[in-house]
Amino acid sequence: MTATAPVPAPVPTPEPRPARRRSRRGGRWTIAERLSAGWLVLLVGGMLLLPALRGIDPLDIGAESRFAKPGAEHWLGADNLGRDLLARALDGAQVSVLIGVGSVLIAALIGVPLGMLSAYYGGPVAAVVSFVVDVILAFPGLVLALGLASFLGASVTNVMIAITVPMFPVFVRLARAQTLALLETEYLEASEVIGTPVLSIMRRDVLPNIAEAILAFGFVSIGRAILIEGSLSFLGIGVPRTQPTWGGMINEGRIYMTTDPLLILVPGAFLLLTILSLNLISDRFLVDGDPVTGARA
Amino acid sequence: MNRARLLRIGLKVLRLAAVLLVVSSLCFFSLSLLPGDPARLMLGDTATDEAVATLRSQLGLDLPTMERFGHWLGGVLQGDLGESYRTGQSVTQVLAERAPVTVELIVLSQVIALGLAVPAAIVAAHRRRTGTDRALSLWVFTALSTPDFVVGVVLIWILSVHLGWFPANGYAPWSDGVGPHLSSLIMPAIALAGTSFALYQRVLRADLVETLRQDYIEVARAKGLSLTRITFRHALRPSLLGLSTQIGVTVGMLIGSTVVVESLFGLPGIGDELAGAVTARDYVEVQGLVLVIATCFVLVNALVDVLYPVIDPRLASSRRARGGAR
Repeated sequence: MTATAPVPAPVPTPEPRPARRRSRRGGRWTIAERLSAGWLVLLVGGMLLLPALRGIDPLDIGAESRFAKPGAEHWLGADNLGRDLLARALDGAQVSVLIGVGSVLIAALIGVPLGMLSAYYGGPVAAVVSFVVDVILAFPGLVLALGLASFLGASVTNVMIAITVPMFPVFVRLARAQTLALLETEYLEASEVIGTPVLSIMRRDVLPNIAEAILAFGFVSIGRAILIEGSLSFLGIGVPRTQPTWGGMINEGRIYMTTDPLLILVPGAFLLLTILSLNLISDRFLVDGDPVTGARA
Repeated sequence: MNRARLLRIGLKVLRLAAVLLVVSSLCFFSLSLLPGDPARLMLGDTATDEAVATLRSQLGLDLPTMERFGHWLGGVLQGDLGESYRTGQSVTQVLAERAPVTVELIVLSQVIALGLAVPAAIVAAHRRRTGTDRALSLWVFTALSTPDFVVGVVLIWILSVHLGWFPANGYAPWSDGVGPHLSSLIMPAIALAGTSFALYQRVLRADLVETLRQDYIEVARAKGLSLTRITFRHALRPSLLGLSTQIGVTVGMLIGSTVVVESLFGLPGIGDELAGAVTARDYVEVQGLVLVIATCFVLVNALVDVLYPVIDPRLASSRRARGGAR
């Protein structure tokens, strides 16, 4: 697994801003980081390939394979209806990855431009943006997502929206803080003096410099989004119940935990390993610490 | 207290009030954003038109929106958050019954989280970049990455099903005795504590590492003070600012996490009630509960803001409020 881990070419990184902690982007990948990358590659690969290769339907029930132990037929065993646990977990992975990546992408696409513009213009623009951010962050993320999911109704798209709304304000704050730090640099001033249009400054001078921090935070956020999706699915809210999800599998498997703990351990392990991998890898790139929690590593 | 400071506080209070006003309006108008008729959605497709019409007038949905809003806001200010459509109980009454469970759960989880995080952070900071530090950091990362309900389910599997130490489900009130009461809360509290523990350990470790580099710690070392004395008398207090901010933020987040943990363990708290209300599409109750939760969240964060100078007197004298642009 370690051999397949992508090892980026060491690039010397200029540090344009005073950082509390330097990004380890150029450094050697630790074993934990390689394993994390390996898991994510396996997960995405398996998610895309395995259902097609083995032709196993995650919804396919079979009386003879009820509670099957792991073996050649069912690699990780089967659940109370004889459905293949690995196929279900991988099907759940599709939902989690789609929602995780999708909601973070939308949150970043909304949040980053807002943050950059509010830092650049300041004044009333910044006041309005920061008020909106304050209002949304007045709700605990999971509670807001829960409320939104219940109001919007059950569907994957709606869960994505429900997770995006509490998430994008954090991207606003991050992009704003990063841009503010950049605005004091001389090359940006110079760019402004020669009359570069604002959008061009944002795109060519600001964005490339804050991209690393945003990317790193994006990875953590994917983990967080998957965590929220898992919690919602566990509660049976959001993703339609017929669709296998990790949270939903854990919820359904609870009744059988005395006799067949695999029903909860398999989806639990998928959830844990995926979020852990995302956290470990993003920690490598996190520069100023976590803008949500303020946690600094 | 000088005028500038008073003015700053006044502006903060105004902003707080504005945020709360907008938050409550959002809670109210979310009902109007529903695709379709709320009464119809609550009762389902099988309900008769008559039943829907009755519920509509019960909810006041036939009145103009602004009139309803005025009504609702007036009620909220007097502590009337409407009635649960499922049980007919007033939301205020539900809160009064259930809040103590949630508060106790959160307090207990914080005791556990801090009890583990503070020693773990001190050890990690002193043994920075050793195997101990790395092992602790891996534990922290794992705790940070495990959803509460996964911890909870595994705890039930090990401690209830296999060892039979604690009940897997249900709540024993104080009247059943201290032992049963605490053992009905201990597993949910541990499940809830995981994330907080991880966040606290990271913040405190980072701040302690920073503090331990200061000259005055060097002086204390040179004077030959013991490690314990240096840690607790000199290093710990100036390193608490990050941690206290983190506690404020985290306690707010925990109100969200209790939804999952309380439903898993069958605890009659606010989170469990919210999950039930959401599942039953009891929108009035969802509105009321979300509003109260958001208000608590905002107030907790404001309280932490006010307490900064108490925790760290250096901040009272310097104008630099919080680190940079945050």
